[in-house]
Amino acid sequence: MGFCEERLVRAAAAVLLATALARAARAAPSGELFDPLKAIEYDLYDFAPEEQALWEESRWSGNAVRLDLGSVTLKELFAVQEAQANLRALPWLGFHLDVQDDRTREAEVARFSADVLLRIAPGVELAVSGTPDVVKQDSAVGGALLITSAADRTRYAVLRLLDDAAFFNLQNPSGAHRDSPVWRAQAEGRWASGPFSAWARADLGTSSQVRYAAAPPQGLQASSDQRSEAEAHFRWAERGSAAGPVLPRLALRAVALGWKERARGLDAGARYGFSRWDLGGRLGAVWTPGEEWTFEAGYVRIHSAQDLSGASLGRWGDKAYGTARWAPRERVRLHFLLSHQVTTGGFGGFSGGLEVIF
Amino acid sequence: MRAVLLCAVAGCAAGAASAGALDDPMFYLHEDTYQLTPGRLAQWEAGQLAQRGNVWIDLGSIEGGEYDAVERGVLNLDLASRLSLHAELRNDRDPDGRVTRAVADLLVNVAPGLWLGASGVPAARKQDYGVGGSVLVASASRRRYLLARVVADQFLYNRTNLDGGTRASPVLHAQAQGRWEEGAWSVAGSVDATTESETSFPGASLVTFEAGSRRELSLHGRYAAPALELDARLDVLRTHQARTQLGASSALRQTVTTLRLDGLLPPLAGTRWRPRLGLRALTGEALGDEQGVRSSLTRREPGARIAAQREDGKALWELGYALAVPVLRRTGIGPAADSAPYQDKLYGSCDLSLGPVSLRALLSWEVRNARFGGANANVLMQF
Repeated sequence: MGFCEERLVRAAAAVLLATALARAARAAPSGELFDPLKAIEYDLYDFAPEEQALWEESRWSGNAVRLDLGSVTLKELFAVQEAQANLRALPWLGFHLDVQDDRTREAEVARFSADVLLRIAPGVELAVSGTPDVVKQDSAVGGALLITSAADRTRYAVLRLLDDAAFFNLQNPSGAHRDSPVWRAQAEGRWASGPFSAWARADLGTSSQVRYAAAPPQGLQASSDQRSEAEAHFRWAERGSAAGPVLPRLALRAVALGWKERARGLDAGARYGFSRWDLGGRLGAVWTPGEEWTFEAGYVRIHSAQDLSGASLGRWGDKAYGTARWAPRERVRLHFLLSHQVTTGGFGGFSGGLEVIF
Repeated sequence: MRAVLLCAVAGCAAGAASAGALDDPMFYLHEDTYQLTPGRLAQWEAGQLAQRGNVWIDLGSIEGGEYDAVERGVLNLDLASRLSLHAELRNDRDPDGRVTRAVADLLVNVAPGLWLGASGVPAARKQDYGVGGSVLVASASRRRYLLARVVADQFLYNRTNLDGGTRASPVLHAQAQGRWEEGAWSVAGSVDATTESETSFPGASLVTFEAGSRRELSLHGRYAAPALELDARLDVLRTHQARTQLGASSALRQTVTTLRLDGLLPPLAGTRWRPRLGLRALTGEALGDEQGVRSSLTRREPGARIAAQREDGKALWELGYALAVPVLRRTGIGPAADSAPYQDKLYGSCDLSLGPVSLRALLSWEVRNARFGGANANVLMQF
């Protein structure tokens, strides 16, 4: 594995999460919303750009498992748990499976989705898509169109439309009723040429409003939620370079961090609005002593400008970190990170994970 | 996963109030017809350690608009020369509730055929973490194996849970699975048992106490020659659920034992149809306690199946008739009641073998009840 010099622009975490609960319910702001270290942790704990790029390349061409767990607060986690499979049953018939249980960016997404792919032309497939949930009313059905580079399927574009929880009103033993269908539009695409690659994914949903007519007075009467997210990764990576910018086996990693977040809620009848705008940066030294091991140490500092219902607050956060990465085989990567809060002197948390593409 | 856990809790709560599947005259007949054929089940068992990926998805309609569902996946990945990852994912559901569990073993090869490992339950919430250890003994092909694991489930629960719960003692989860084969013979089995989970919620206004445990045993002996297949299966499930809600306590303890004997005979003279004959015996008991009022439900259910299979290229067709006589006896709440309703099903299925994927669709008709008997689809993927 040669040294990899790269420049990276990653625009992730463009998340819109809107939650509105009925009058009796509460949607108190979580402590995580105000945590000045959150953006740092999400940056440190996420897969490194080179790992992320390998996974993006494999999305429609291989099987993959990746797991990444890191402390966010004393009780919560940054968690990515994902598995995918691409199976070819017949030249014209394939299957794509995705299992995920992620907890990032204020939302937890646990989902199993499947596509039955029917090839209609070289590189063009139509899919019957769905989420075969063990609870019938939670199953989604829909369709998709997939276009791939015919040779290796590492360049692709997929567009999927799902009727989420399609049988909710028909097969719901709890008596809950949803006012209108919930549609999810999902798109994912990757393009690569030479050292350049670009990957983007969007998952957009309409609002779900559910009424529980048979609920007892002290129980939940109604709920509403909506989740939409989009992320993108643009990458330039030159492989095989014999020398890094500093020394033959030493390189620098520089990261610019920007985090914008807005939340509106209703807590016990009182409305609140919150916004934060975090800016910071990370500088790390990456040492690759051999083929299998990579060590990284660095420092990240960020300023979080927060506003809660008109009250402004500026907070600083920082961390020093060290990461060990082990790649015992091609496309097998394990990592462990340990961090320390320099300003407060507190323990900064740790994360561990693996990524296997096969 | 939070939604999953909420559903699991809801399932547990529902289970504490009723005997669920044991009270449903049709459930075990549905389950019997929906199950993988013995041949496919043996394929799944053989691939548990031998295949890099082994996936089984099985959804079948049951009464009340729900599924009898099995969703399981297994991964075996060689990370380094002496380091392997074995991971299992389970998401099953029946009228008694839902079993959702992921567990992974990081195995180090310490001697030929012997691996020792650290086990863990990865989760999206800290309170759901589990840690433990495992040992694996396997043949070179990994089609013969013994894997045993003990995990302390939710070992950080008291320090990290967001439910306001306090657990009296750690919950230990022991699992073992093994398989042996020699020529036409094979035996596979598994044990999955937890100690009692007792959780108090002192600050809660609705549910202030919950307890539960689940113990399962499965054995499958098989003889498979080209012209004759014989299978014997034994499944035992024992569950306990208890809860205190608004000061009122309820508990339910259930045990269900099922024995199945199956035979796939040589083709009938002059045809390509192979008779399939099956016998099934089920015994179940549910002991309930609602605020000190005890109740019981016992179930004795003999059943049988007569069917025929025909292989046609990649397709395997099966037409059959399955019957059962669930003898139910209830005592305790209300007057004692006995019933023994004859139940039956006519079904047809098509199983397609498409390389690493096999698909089966099944449709059924309840002859005695003169109504649609439900549908089932299952997929087995091995890669």
